[in-house]
Parts: sequence; structure tokens; C-alpha cells
Amino acid sequence: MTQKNIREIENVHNSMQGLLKHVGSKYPERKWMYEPAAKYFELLYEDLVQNKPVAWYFFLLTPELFRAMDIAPFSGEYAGSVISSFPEGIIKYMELAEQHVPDSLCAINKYTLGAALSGDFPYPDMLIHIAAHPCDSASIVYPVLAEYLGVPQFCLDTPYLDDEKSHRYFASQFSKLISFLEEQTNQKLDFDRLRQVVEYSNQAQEYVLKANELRKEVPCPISSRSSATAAGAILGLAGTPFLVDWYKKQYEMALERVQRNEGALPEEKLRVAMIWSSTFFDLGVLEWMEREYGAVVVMDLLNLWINEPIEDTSSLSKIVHGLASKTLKAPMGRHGRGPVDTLLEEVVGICRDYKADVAIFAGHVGCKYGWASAKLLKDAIKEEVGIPTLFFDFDAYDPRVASSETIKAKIEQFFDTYL
Amino acid sequence: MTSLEELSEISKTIANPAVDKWKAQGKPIVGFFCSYIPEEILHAAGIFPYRIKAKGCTNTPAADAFLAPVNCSFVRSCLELALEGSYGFLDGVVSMNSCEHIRRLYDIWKRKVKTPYSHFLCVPHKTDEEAVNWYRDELAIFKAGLEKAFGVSITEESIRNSIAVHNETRDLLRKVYELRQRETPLLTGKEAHEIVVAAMATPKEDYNRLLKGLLEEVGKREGISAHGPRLMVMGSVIDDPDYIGIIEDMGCLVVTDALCFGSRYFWEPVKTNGDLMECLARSYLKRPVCPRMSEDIGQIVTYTKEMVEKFNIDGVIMERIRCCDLWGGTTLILQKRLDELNIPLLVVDREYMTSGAGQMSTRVGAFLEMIGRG
Repeated sequence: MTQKNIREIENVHNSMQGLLKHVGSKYPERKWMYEPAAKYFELLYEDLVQNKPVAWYFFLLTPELFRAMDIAPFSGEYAGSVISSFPEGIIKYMELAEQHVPDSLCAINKYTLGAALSGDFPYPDMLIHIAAHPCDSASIVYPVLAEYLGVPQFCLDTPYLDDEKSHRYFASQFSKLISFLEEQTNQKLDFDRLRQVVEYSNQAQEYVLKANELRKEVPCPISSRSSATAAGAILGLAGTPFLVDWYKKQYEMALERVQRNEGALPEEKLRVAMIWSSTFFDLGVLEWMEREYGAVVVMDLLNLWINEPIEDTSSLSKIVHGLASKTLKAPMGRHGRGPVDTLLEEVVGICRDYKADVAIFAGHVGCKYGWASAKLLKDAIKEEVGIPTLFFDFDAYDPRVASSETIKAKIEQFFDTYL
Repeated sequence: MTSLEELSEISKTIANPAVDKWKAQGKPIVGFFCSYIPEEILHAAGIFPYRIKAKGCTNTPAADAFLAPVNCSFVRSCLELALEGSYGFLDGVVSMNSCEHIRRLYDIWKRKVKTPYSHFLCVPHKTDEEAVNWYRDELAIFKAGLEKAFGVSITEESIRNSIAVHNETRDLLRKVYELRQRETPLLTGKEAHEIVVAAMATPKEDYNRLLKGLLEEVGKREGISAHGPRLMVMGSVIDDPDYIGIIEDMGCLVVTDALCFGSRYFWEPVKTNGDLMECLARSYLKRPVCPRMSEDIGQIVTYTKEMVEKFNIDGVIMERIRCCDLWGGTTLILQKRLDELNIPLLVVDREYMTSGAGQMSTRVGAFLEMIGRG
């Protein structure tokens, strides 16, 4: 296998390490929130240095199999969302993609496409994608890239519903994925190693569920930024011991606060449910909401992981079924793939169970299914919870569509009216 | 009125005389959204399958309350017509996971249009045996639901008969397309499109009769000799033959397509060599592909190449409805592969309505000039 181009990953890895150092010296109490993204690039960089085969994959596919099979997992969606917060952002790669596809595709998928076409990132040995889970943009980018680059691909076909039959169908796709990975890497899956990876994943998941329960407390013990960070961490790092420690730390910090009857903010004035996307290119917007309005994000849709840990890890088939279910139940995926009822029920649930005062639908322009749900969401929240909802359009990864200041102005007007 | 005139009239409106006649007999009509839904099963239940389209919609004020500008304008237009009552003649609606816009359209339709019967088919995005088996089971559920909702029994014999009727339609439509393979085609692209659009808005037995008449009528025509370059059109849904007319008005002839209201609707017959539900599942999954079929995306290029060779094409127009990401993304490989094959390609973004005709004409005009120079 020829050595990959790892220059850009090395750059990002170094930048993240520099950021950690900077935050650690200036705001040591905040350093932990930057650690997951830094760890993702650190592990990826190490994999690439070791010249492991590279799988580009859609980020709602839970990555335990890659971690267990010595495959370097590169998710354009996860990497791009981190890089979009850098000063130079991901615009260069989006623009490269737009030379070939319409600008209406989701920015993060355009990033994946542009990154692949640029040659700046490690060339994929294989592409793994998921059909219609949740959107067309993600569905199309990987297969066309596979055809364009002449790289082997595997598509996980998703069913529409979330019933047992659908999970069995999807689990079967997962089994075939294992065969595909074995074929591409020329190695058999080591079951004991997979079980170890899944055990880590399970432990992290237990903390995810427990932390999400603590967010219901008033005041909310977890800050808005750490909530947004947590949503991505599980996607990039599931199956690593790091993630167990990180979620454990988050949970224990939150628990201590609850026991002291303290919140993440000195004074919590407003509980916000983020019912669609978040401002990934500038999570500082969330911190501004906290500072200026005492408004804390008590739950966001992307952080609503609901799957239980895989109960029985004694056999490969049980693990496969569990990983398949975890992928099918991933936030976004389950909200977009099937009937809108799931989304409506869960959003109403977030607003009610997390005792939100207001809801914000930060409508990423790439989420067509999201915008097609907006009116139904608005009506459901109004009828069943009775709280106001702010709707605005923006691009979660591209400040040219709506800048941080523009977004803040919209939130400001909404909060001022509400308060 | 000639058969062609009759078919042309049917293509121009939502309701048509065939719809009125069917309803007057007290028989049900069920609308469906996508060419991956087997009409045969509806037909076997004594139901008139009607492909939902948006012809005639000029703006979308009611639909815009539910769907945003980032949502496909074809889908918005279909919803508009439904909300304003144009689809009041439907006794049911069947949808599927074609794309994210259609998935949400079904959610909204169910809540706000409230057609008496509704069903959603989960159609696989792959074509392997497991997918075929899944779709066979889905079709069995669909069949059982229809039997219950409409109080009918769908027998194996009735399905076999329906497949035969629909295969006859496919065979006749291929004969229509063969008339366009000639050096001097007997039909314009607009006429051919009217014919295919009418197929999805007419009971099939009536339609087949009309098609036979049409083939006789058109067979006596003189071929179109002064026609300019021979083009193929492909991409997002086109249910409005006027769109093809706008292209041809620039001095070319559209002689084939890869459209779901076009050749992809009928190109391959349903083979009846086994369990009929499995035959339907297999045939529909393996028909010339839409980019929703994730793993088989390369087949789009294969089919395009086949069409280009068979119809002696000078250039291909790929039109993309804005925010149709499936066709939008497909451009990446189509452009590359057609470049390799030295086939000129024009990519045009558009909204569903033909109000952007001026811009379209300019782009096509420039393309034709380029082909001429080439």
C-alpha cells in the first residue's frame, strides 16, 4: 500500500493540539470541551502514520467496526464540522465541489466531496455510505465519489420504519459490511477485539444516557457548548477508551453540580431546546446566549442518543444487531429517514421533559427534510407544549449565508420579545 | 380527434375525461408518486392508478406554508394542487421513500389533504437478492392493505393479467420510441412526451387502444427531416411536455430521454418467470435507475450511453430541479463519463414551472451552437 497524503490531517492535528494548549493555559476549566475533536484527529493521524487502510464513511455509521479492524476512519462530516470552526473554514473545499455539483447540496457533504477531489486528504481505500439516512445530499455524495474515483464502495440500505423487521434487515447489511471490510483489508475480524471496542462503546453510552437525564434538572448542570461537543464526540470516537473517560467526566461534573443544586450557568434564566441544527462554525454563539441572556441549551436534537448499550456481547450476531440498531437510531438519521411522527414526538418530548422555555429551530439550509418539517414542528410545539419557537435559516458550516452577528441579532430580537 | 390529439389533451390537465368516466362508474382511483411503485397491483384490484403530477400549477402560496424554498418545486407544486382540491378525485394515495422531499410530502399530504386511503412503500435502495425479497414482502403488505381498504380480492390470475396489460403498454411505448430512432423521426420530442405522460393518467386498457391507433396514424406520417441536432433529455422529474417543446423550439429534436415520465417508466418488461410478487419486485428494482438507487449509480451512465448509441444522439441535456440533490450530485459522474465518451452535455438548473423558459432557451441555443461548431 502506498503512503497516503497526510499533510492536511497533520496540520489539523497540530492546530487542535495548539488550541488545546492555548485553552489549557488561558481557560483550564474549558479545555476538556475541546478534547474530543483533538483526540479524533490525533487518532486519525496515528492511524495514517501507520499506513492503515483508510475508509471514508458517512458519520452516522457508528465507527466501532473500523476501530476493531485497524482501519483509519475518516468522516468528512465530522472532520468538516470541526474544521468549519477554524478561521479558514471549509469554504475552499465547498467551492471546489461546487465546480461539479449544485451549491444546494448540504455544505458538509460538499466539503466531503471537495476534500476528496482536492487530493489534500488521504485517498480513500474504500467508501462506506448509508442510503437515505437522513438526506439525499449524504446519500448521493458517496456513491458518486466511489464511481468518480474508482474506489470500492459499500452501501448500507436503510428501511423506512424503525420496527424489528427493519432492524433485522439493516443488521444483515451490517454483516455484509463486515465481509466487505475483511475483503478490502485482507484480514478477518477479530471478535475479541470487536467485543472490547463495543464494551468501551457501551460504557460511554451509559454515561451519555445518564448525562442526558441530568440535563432535565433545573438548573441544567451541563453547558451549551459541552452539549454540542458531546453530540459530535460519540460520532467520531465511539469504541475508544478516551470517550468513556470523557463522558464519565462530563457526567460526574454534572452530578456534582446537581448535588450542590448548581447549574452550568451562575444564573439560569432561560432554558432553550435546540430542535434542529447548531452553529457549528461558531459555537461561541451558544456561549454568547449564556452570557447575555442566561440562556442554556438544555437539549439539542443532535445530542438525543436514545439507544441502550448493547446488552449481550457474547456473539457476533448480537453485536452486529446492536451496532446496526445504534446506527439506525442515531439522531438525525432516525429523524429524517422515516415518518415525521418520530421527529414531532421527540421534539415535543425535548421541550416538555427538559422543561424548555423556548425552542430554537436553527434551520441549516442543506436540511431539506428539516425545512419540510418546520411548519409541522411549529404547530406541534405550540399545541402540545405552548412555548414559542424561533425559526431562522443559516448554514451550520458556512458563515457567508448568515454570519454569527446576523444569527445573534435574530436570537436577540426573539429573546427580547420573549423576556 | 386523432389518437395523438386525444393523448395530448390528457397530458395537459390533472383531471381528464378518462378520470371523469371512471369516477362516474363508481370505481376508485389511487394516486401514486414514483415510477418504482408497481401499478399492476392497483390495476389488479380494479383501481385506476394515476401518477400524481403538477401540470398547470403556476405558483404555490398554500404549499409554501408547509414547504420551504429549499424544497423541490415539483413537490411544492403537487402539494399546492392537492391543497387547492385538484386531486379531490383520488380515493387513495401511495407514496414511497423516493427522496427526502417526497417523504415529507407524504407526511404533509396525510395530515392536510386527507385522501381516504394512504400507503407508504419502503423501497430498497439496492438491487441484491435481499433487497428483492424485502420489496416482495412490502408489495405483499401493500396488496393485503388494498384488499382490506377497497374490499376486493387480488388473485394471482388478476395480477398476471395486469402484468400482461402493462407489458403490452411497455411494448407499445417502445414501438413509439423506435419511431424516433429513425434518421427522420416520426414524432417530435414534445409529442412523445405527451404520449408517455398520458400513460400514467389513463386506464391502461383504454391507453393501449389509443396507442395502437396512434402507431397506425403516425406510421403514415412523413419523417421530420429538417430537425437540427438530435438530443436526449435526462434528470429530475418532467411531467410537462411544454418543457420539451421549449427545448425543441430552439431548433433541435429531442429523440429520447432518461426520465421517469419517459423511457425509464416503460423500458423493461416485467418478467413472469416465477412468483409474481417477486417478479414485480425484481423488475421494478432493476429498471433503468434513478439516483435514489445508491449503489447502482453507475448504471445511469450505462443507460445514457445505451440511449446515446441507439438514438444516434448529438448531445445530452441534463436538467436539475433546484434542490434535487440526487440528480444534482449525479452530475459529478455524468459529466466525467460523457466527457470521456466525447458526448456533449448541457447541465441546466431550473424550477418546476416553465416560467424560466427564456433562460432555458438561451442556454439551449448556446449549446446547439457549440454542438454545431463541434
